[in-house]
Amino acid sequence: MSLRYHLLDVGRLQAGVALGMAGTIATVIALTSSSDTEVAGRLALFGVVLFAIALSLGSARLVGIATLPMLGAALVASVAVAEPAWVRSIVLGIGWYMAVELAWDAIERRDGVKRSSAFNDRRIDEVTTVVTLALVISTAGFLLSFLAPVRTVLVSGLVIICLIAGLRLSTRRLQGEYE
Amino acid sequence: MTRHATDRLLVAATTSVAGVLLAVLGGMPEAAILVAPWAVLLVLGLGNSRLEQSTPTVEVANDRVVVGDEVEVSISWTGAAGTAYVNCLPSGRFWPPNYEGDARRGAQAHDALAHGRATITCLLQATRWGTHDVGRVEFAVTEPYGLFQWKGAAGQSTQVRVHPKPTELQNLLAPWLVRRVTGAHRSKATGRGVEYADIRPYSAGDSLRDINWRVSARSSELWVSLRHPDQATDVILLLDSFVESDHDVHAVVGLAIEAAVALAESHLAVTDRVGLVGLGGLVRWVRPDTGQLQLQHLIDALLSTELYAYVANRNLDAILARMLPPRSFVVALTPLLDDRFVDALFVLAGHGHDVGVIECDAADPEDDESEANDTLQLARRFWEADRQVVRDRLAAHGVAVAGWRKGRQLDLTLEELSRRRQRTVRARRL
Repeated sequence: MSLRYHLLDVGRLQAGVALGMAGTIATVIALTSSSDTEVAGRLALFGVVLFAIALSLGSARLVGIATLPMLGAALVASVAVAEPAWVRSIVLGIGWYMAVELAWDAIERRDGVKRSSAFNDRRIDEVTTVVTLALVISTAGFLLSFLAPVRTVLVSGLVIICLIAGLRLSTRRLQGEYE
Repeated sequence: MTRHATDRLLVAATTSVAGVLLAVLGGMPEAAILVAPWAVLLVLGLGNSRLEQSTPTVEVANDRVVVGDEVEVSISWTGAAGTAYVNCLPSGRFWPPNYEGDARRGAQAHDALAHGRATITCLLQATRWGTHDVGRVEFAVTEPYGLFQWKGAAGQSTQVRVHPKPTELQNLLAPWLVRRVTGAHRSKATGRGVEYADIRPYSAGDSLRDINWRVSARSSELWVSLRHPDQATDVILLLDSFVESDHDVHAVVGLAIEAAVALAESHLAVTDRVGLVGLGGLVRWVRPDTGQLQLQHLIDALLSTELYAYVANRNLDAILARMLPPRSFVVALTPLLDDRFVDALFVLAGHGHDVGVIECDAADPEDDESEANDTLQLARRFWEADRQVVRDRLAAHGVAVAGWRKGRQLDLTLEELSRRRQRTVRARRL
């Protein structure tokens, strides 16, 4: 196979980007966690290695499973901090979701199955919708936290209520598109 | 159709539940924020989930193609949502065994179901001649946001006939026996025609157009030219479909069918009547006739040729005596491996038919030469000698044999057969 083929292979490109994103997220988690939480860095490293292995094996399920150690690492890293790291959590959560979606798509492309542009558009549309809604709801939760900027059940409850309300509204709006 | 949860649902549900529980019970709002995309995916996916999906319909656009062409299979949905994946599954012999070329990828496709309807087209590259069933497809419809997938199979029996690649022939085999119908083969008789035969003195009733003025001018009386009329013949393609073990039977019969189609096309083009007799476990017969419709009948019969292991000593003499028109020109396409078929050739020659044999050999000569084992080479030489005896016996009965291997031009084989036929006839006269 020529170099040109490798460069033009969208699946390989996607896999590379997904791996790059996962690596960046793991690095961010490892670097931003305090020295008290070494376990976060190790967990992130385990997550990214698992992700890389899953990607090379072409296992969609294993890619999904790598989410647990990675998000766990992000959570452990933020526990040591007194104040909730909202922006970092938003960026890491959405970044990881996009990395997993890219990896899944790269795995699907491995078979070389013909894809229509409508199919690709639909996939992009779905991911964009999820990311946009997650961003809006997370930001809303972040803004609400200014009302009680401490770790309390009240803040968590507010975030959850905001999340569920946002989801209900968005679901009702989007349901019409597919009927 | 059956519904399955996807890996996406598994991941979304696990992370969402874990995140929300940690956020509420552990007082960590970051957990909820980290899993927010997965929770959004879960809610959107479940919100757009459907309890039933429609089954697609399968249509094949072209039911006759030539080897190398593409068969277009369309799969249509109405009343479904999401993205669809289809995998066309033609019958086992559509592609050669272990064929994993790029062509096979054309049998699979992804598409989105826009506004509840979609048509996905798969292009199957036909690589093998024959009649194949391509109507069955496996499909999977993934619901919006990909949490659930419907899997199933659909389709009805749709036959596609894959014709061998047409071979344009420059030469026609000249029959010894012709019908009293105008055609393209020179008759031995004299009459109205183009080719000069002889001259004779003018007699009452002769046409003035036939007077040979040059000869008449040199003598004191009128002479007329005699000509050979061009007439048609009945060509019977005799196909050997007896199974022999240890040979690539599909390749051998494939060669025979390729030659048969080429011969049928060229003889039908010059108003000959062409018929077909397939001798094997199943005797197949197409009456001789002319025209393009006959060509279709012949090709259909050739493509549906099946190979049967048949050991009974069927009375082929009686079958052939009833089937063949008298004094027809029989072109046998055979690997000369089955004694029953060889015996049938002797019977036909004995009944006064004009018989020529194209010996189809699918073996690659380079493979034979590169064989290092002495025992196998010796066995090969014995086998060749045995076959030569069969060819000589046939020649002694006025049946000429010319070999045709894969990769060789059929025209060269026909020329060789024509030369051998002339020699055979001369030998018989002597």
